[in-house]
Amino acid sequence: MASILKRKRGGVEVLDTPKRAKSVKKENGNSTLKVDGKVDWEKAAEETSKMKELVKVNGENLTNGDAVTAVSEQPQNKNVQKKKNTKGLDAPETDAGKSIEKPSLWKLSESIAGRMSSLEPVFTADEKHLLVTTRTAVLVYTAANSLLTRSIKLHLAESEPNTRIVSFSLSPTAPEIVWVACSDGNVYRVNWMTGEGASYSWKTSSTGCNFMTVAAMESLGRRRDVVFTTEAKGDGWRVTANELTAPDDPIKTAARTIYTSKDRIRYLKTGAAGSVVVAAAGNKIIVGGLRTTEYGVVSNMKYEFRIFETSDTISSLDVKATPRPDGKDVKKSLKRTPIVDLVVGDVRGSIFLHNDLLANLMLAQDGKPGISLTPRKMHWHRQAVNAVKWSRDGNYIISGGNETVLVIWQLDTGSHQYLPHLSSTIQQIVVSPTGSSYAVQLADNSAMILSTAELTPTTNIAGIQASTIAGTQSLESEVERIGEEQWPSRLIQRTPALINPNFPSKLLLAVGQTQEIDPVNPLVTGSPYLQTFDLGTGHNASRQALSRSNVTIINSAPSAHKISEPRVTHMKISHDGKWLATVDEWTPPARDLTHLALDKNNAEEERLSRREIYLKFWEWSDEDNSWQLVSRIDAPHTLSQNSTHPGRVLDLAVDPNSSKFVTVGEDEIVCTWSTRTRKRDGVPVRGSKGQVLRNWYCQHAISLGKQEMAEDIGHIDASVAGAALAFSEDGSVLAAATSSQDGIVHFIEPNSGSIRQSQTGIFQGHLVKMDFLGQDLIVLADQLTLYDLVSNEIRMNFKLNIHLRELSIAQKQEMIHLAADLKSRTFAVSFPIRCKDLTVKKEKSLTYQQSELFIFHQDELQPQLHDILPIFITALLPAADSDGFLLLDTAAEIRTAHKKGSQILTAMAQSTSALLLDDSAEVNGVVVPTDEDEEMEDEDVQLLTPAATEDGNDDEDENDTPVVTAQQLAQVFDIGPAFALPPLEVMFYQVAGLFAGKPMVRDV
Amino acid sequence: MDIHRCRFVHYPPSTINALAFSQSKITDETKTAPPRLAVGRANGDIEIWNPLSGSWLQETIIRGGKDRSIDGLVWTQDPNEEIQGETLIGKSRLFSCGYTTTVTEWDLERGVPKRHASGNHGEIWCLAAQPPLLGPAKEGEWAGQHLIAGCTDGALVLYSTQDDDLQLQKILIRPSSKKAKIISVTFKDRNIVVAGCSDSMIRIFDIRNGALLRSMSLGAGPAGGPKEIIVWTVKTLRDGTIVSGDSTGELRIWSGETYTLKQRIKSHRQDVLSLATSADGSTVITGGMDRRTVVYKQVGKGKSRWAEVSHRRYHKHDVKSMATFESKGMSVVVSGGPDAAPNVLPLSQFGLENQRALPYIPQDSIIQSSSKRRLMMSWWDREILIWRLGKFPKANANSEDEEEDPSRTRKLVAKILLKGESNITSASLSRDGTLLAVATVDDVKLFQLRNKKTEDGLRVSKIEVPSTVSSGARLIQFSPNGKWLCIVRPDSRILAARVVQEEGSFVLHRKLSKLRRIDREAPKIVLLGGLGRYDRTVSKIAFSTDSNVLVVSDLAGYMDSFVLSGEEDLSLDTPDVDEFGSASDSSDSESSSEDEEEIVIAPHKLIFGQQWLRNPSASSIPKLPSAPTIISFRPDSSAKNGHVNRVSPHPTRNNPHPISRALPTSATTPDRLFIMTACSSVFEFNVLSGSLTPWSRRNPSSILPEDFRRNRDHARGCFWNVTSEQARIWLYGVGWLWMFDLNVDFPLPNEATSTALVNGSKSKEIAETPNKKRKHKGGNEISTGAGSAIANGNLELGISRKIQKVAEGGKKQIREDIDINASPFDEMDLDTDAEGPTALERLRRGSSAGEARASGAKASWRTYKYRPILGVVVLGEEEGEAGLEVAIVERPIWEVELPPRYYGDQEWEKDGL
Repeated sequence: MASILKRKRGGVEVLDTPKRAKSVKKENGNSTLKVDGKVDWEKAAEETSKMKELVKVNGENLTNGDAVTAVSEQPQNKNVQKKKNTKGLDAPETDAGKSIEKPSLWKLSESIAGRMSSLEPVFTADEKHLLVTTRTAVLVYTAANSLLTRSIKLHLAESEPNTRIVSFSLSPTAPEIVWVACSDGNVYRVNWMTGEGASYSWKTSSTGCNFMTVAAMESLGRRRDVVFTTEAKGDGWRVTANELTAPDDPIKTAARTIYTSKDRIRYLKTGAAGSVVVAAAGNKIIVGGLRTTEYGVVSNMKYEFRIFETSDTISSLDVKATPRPDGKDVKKSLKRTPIVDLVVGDVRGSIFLHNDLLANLMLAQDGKPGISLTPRKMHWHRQAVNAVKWSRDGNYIISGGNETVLVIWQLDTGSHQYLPHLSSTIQQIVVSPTGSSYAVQLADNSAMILSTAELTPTTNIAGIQASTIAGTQSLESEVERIGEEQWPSRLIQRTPALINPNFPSKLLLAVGQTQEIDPVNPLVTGSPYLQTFDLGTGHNASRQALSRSNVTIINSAPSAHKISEPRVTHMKISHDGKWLATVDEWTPPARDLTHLALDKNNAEEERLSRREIYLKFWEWSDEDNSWQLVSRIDAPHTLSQNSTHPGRVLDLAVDPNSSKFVTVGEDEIVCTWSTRTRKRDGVPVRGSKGQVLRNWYCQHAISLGKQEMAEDIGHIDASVAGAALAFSEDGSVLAAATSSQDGIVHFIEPNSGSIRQSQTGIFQGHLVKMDFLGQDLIVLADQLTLYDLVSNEIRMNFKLNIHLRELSIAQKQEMIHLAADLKSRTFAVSFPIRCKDLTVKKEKSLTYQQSELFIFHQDELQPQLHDILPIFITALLPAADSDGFLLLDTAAEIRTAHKKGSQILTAMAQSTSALLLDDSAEVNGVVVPTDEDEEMEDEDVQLLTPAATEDGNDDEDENDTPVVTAQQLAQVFDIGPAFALPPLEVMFYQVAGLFAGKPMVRDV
Repeated sequence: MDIHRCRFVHYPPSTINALAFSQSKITDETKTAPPRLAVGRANGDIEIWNPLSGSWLQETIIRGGKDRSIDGLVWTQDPNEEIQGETLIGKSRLFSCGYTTTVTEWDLERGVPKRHASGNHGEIWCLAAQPPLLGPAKEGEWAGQHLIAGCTDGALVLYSTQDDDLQLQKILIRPSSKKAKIISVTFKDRNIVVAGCSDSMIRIFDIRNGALLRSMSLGAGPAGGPKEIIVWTVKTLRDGTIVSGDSTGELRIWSGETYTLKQRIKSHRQDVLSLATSADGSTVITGGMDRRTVVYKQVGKGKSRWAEVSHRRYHKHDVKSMATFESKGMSVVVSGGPDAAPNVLPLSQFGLENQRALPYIPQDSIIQSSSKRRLMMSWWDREILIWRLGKFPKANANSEDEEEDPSRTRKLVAKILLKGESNITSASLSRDGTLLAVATVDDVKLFQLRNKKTEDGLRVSKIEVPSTVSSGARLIQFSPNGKWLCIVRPDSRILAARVVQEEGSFVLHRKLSKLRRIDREAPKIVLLGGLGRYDRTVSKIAFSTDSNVLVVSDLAGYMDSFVLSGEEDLSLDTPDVDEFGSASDSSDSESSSEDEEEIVIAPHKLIFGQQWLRNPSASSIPKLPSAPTIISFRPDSSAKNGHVNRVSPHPTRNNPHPISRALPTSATTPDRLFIMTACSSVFEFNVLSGSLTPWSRRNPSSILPEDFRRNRDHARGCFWNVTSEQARIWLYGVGWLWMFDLNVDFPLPNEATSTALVNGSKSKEIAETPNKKRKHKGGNEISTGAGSAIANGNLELGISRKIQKVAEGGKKQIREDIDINASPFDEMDLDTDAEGPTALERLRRGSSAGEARASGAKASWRTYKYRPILGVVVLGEEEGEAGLEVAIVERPIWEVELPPRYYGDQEWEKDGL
């Protein structure tokens, strides 16, 4: 380090010498837990609790989400406000000192699933595994069975929110190593076979990093990985070549800035062992050639760059560099220059193909006549070419974009081949090392491997398709396109989600085709699909349409506007898992109705009258494993009591004991929906198997509104925008309230449909949500109120922070979540907060929104859990078969919150390596203890120890019959319910692997 | 000025079937005739265009006739000869075929077929010329270019062009029983012919013995389509490689040595119809039925492979024909099809310069008007239509009640269909609207137009014309007073005929005045070779407003002027039958003796005491830099009576009928002639004194507005609006309308910044020009023959003109800019400041110049609102109340009924309009 420092002081070129640093997060004993992502609840609890403290500290320092104006109306709470206002809710504290010391009784689990980053997936050298990344983790999937083999979570520094992986790339020298670059400028060297290296990083730059690529470069007989990174520098951007070595390596870590640019460098590729570097910045292409290979160390490398402009902003590029064949007509000066074939896709859909670019540029620059630099222009795509790649032999290029069509261009004949109707926008395409398959990553959080010959998928990886916030400004925004409908206020739509009570590991989500939400101008996104996600396997189980959708057709109108899809706003499942009720709504775009309207107000009226709002009842069909539509109620509610226009359904509730659903709409009428035998001419209609078919009808319609409201005919009353319903635990009481009636909650006897009691003064302001917890009714409006029905008193009352109260009603309804868990007698609420330390400019973006989560016990004022999540919660629901809650966030990750010590029965998806199916891979992975830099390390940091001995698997020395414990077997078989198990074949091999002694595979 | 904007003239532009350049490649060394482009159309017209280093002037139209079409055009160049140390450049000869069994050679000087040749074979589908012999000819070998014709019955016929003749030499291939049509034919070298057939075959023949060397099969057609592939077009590259375009939409590349398929490129969705290659063989361009024009270049290692570089839809319909032309400073490919507009695409600068569509509207206006009677005449093919245009409804006169139906403001009052086969070459309507003269290539007809008593229409009656007149004309025009009819014969002899009014009807005087142009004798060696006398073809006629001066101009830029001498005396008419007869005889016999030197004008033939004499100062009008596109006399504002000052000679005893020999003078007759040439130079001459007018001296072409000079479309016509305050000339081209006030001087460029400028035109651009060597920049007017250079920001090429090189030198990064896509003009001397305004102009202006502008009169004004302008005519100027009244006739292409397309891809463009 000293030498580096010296160079740092003396040298001019070495700007940010990467420092080997441990990640900021401290290690505690169980390093293996993190390494392989194995979940051991007990230990994870300690882990996370420590982590949480850290978060808390951060929370105090960084986030000042001061939601807290404590209003405690409980007489027994004589607490002093001592804690800093860090929370969205003020939790009254019993004792100041204690409350700080008191550890949370609950904890958050590590996340599973998650949004795949739009980075090129990586094939391993043997093509048996495919590596993709989420925001913070590298996931290793087995190509043969699409199963998650290993999830390597990087130990990111939490100093900056939204730190994420920006690039990763397989090391060309060591096939088991992946280089991973994060947006904070740290570069990790991860062994994907073992998961090592997730906690060590080199800080290459203090300004972050936005792209990275790796080349194996040879000089003076030494071959090494050179990591090229691009990062901001002053008012420009630069490209740096780094050689990152371990601290004990005799060769020092070295770096050199090889190029600086005024424009943001978006892509970086190398070819011919680093002798060619191609980068794209805006509409500029930067081609660099290495001057000499005799540079010795990286800091002496010299490149020569040539820059030219193309017609439009570049959205993708690929380079193919092949050594120049020896020929007589080859000029001496070009002998060493490889043939660089470059293909560039731009945001308007053109693909340009430059043959032998570098040599031609050199010749043209020398003024040699007759050199045609004009590239071939290939135009098929209408919008941005998100991905373009050379085939291995250079005879084809493969491209994809928003058209959801994979295009294969045969260069010699000019013919195209298409693979149309992929499920979503193509984001990345990768050609496997042997060229036998393509990996295609789609925008709906899925990736697949296609065989080159038949173009059939061999591997399919699909994650949760709930909406996520787009990480970076998309390149599409460079092109002016016709604007789509936006939310008036910036918000993130809630994702309707529920757990199937019959299959507690199945999470049902209403999802859309486009998931990435622009953080600045969020569009109104439709969500016409029902995705069934298996929590046990971490896999997409099924997907079906709940309303009309545009998946296989051109989804733009002749006017180039996107055709909007209906949005599923509410979704509930009956207690027996047999019935599913959904509400979807669709409003025609304003631009289609302007010709009908007399004036602006009238236009809105015309729009409202043409809304399509449906209540649909679906029945589970075991035969084809899907939900079958039974009844569709068109416009279950009207705009107001005297209107005939369809009105929104504001809430949907399900009777916990019988097949009964309840809705409340804008007309302030509560409808109870019940099922009855379907009859034709008095004879029950029977299905194909002789079962009696049923349909749904409105049993009671109970008006909550005052009668004088009826006078405002056609008047759009904005105050009715909020309404909520809740069934008591036994289904005997239905609570209903609307915002228009300030503070009144009606208690309805659902069977008779009569209002039994109306209680006033329970809430104020916009009503967001209600739920029952035992005899307590939780009402979330401008306060969080716990109202005891039996004693008829308000047991808790928390006032929401002023920032929350100032949100618009739509923002509140979409972004504030409430869930009650009956088993643990707890309820959870989450609020949006935003990081306060960020600049005002950034605050406008949803990217910097965070979520604050509270879990309260019914009887305690002190929250069981209070945490600030770095990302945004879009769904909060009680876990079905155990205590605790499930959280879905904008990174499409799922976490559980549960009581320490309790174990959620629903096994969350784990990688196969975490199940220790092939454990000896870890066993053999002896990590050399490493020395830390004096300046960086903490004294109490523990060195990495040989991993994974706690499972009793330290049988590596025994060469005879292996001992197979019951626990090991359990881990093969008890990973989930029967339907969620991996294929039988896989399980067989897993069991066989246990008994077969030394596993034959080192490559997992 | 009132403007009627009309679109009811449904002029039918005709499909381009064939395009041919007289040479496809001219290097600095080659001695050859000036290049011309021949455009063959489906209505039988052949247009001769002069590339004029990018100005593209339509010089002449050889009119076709009924049921004739031009399907193939071929130029040949006879070999050069050395005569007495001078090179006699070989003749450029134009041949055509038109789905008959005949090959026609055209006489460009007269615009008529020169000779035909046919044989006992099927209809000729395609025609190709043998490549010229390079190097010395062997003994007894004809170094010229023979023609090969492919026929629909499968015959391949060789026509000899030897000894300035056209003869069937031999039938190489007899029609076979299979009757595979020969669709395309080309020469690989002087002896090997490549023929693309309709039966999926390309056959190679040796013309020396007619042997079939090889046949190359294209295989079966695609599934679902016809089995046999039609080879629509085939060409060979310089290295012998054969390229073909076929009905599957593929370009195929065949080895010229082994005659095997090397590569096939699918780039069209429909048939490839046309194909062009660059002379060096590095670029291939195809056009197809899918409207695409595709450019291919050689790529890859060793440049052995071809690849599509880009494609685009330049045409609105099929791309039927293509031709390339490369010379110093020019490199273009011209394509054409049913949308009738030739499209010029840059070849070497492809992607760096814009393409340009040439107008489909003929250069010479086909619209005339009789302003007095508010008649408007238009003509095409064998058809003449006359409309009467109503007046503008008065805005204040009860517009609500009596609002006139707009369709009633015009009425078709006469429609004349000519008998006979040949198309009209020219027509003229006298100013008072009573007479109509129509010329075809072999006839001149005269019609009298009378109002019908009851209806709106016109009664058209034919007037017999003397047989001497009726032998065809190239151009025909009435004088403004309607007394004279100027007739230009196909061979460019000029006649003037007197119109005599007799009891309400008109006849032509039997005596004809022959007007002889100054014999600007070129050396014989020039006249015998190249294009011969073609450039002396008379293209424009102009009468002075009092009809006393007549000016004709030819394609070379020479002007000839004639004056009417003497005083009109109707009593002097001495119709002498004998004299007339002898005159008619001599007119025929004289054509042979025309070359004789004749300084004194032959026996005076007075007609009513008047005769046409050559203007004494005609020779002092210099040759113009290029062919004039507009010649027009400036009318005089102070309506002078030309006769006032002329004193009739008194009859004396010796001369009872004294004849005035007085010539009109500048004082009596308005003689200021406004001229605009094809290279946008503007002059004004005093014709009678043979000098430039003061305005023209003060305003040389170089200080015309920048926007005007950068205009690439030629001026097609003009009209005047002269009052005592202003002398406005309105010029129009296909897409523009410019006004110049000749009473006002143009601002000098360096004054431009200080004075308020012409109509807000970009003063910066003008300000940059003075006295500096103009640098070549993007968007400048210099190009390789097509449109202007594309600005750097708009390049869609995928690579910029400049690259930047960044290298590390020491501690700093050194950046340097390098031009890679350099324009060929960078090396050329762009010293254009020679014509820049000099102190001389400033001196000539004196102090008066500033005053005129101070009065607020604009020197110029423009609009691009009307397009494409078929013609602008003046109406009802006689009334003179609200100033000028004009009708602008437009003919947009989307209103033209194009033939239906086989392939309706992306048709929404049409629906949108």
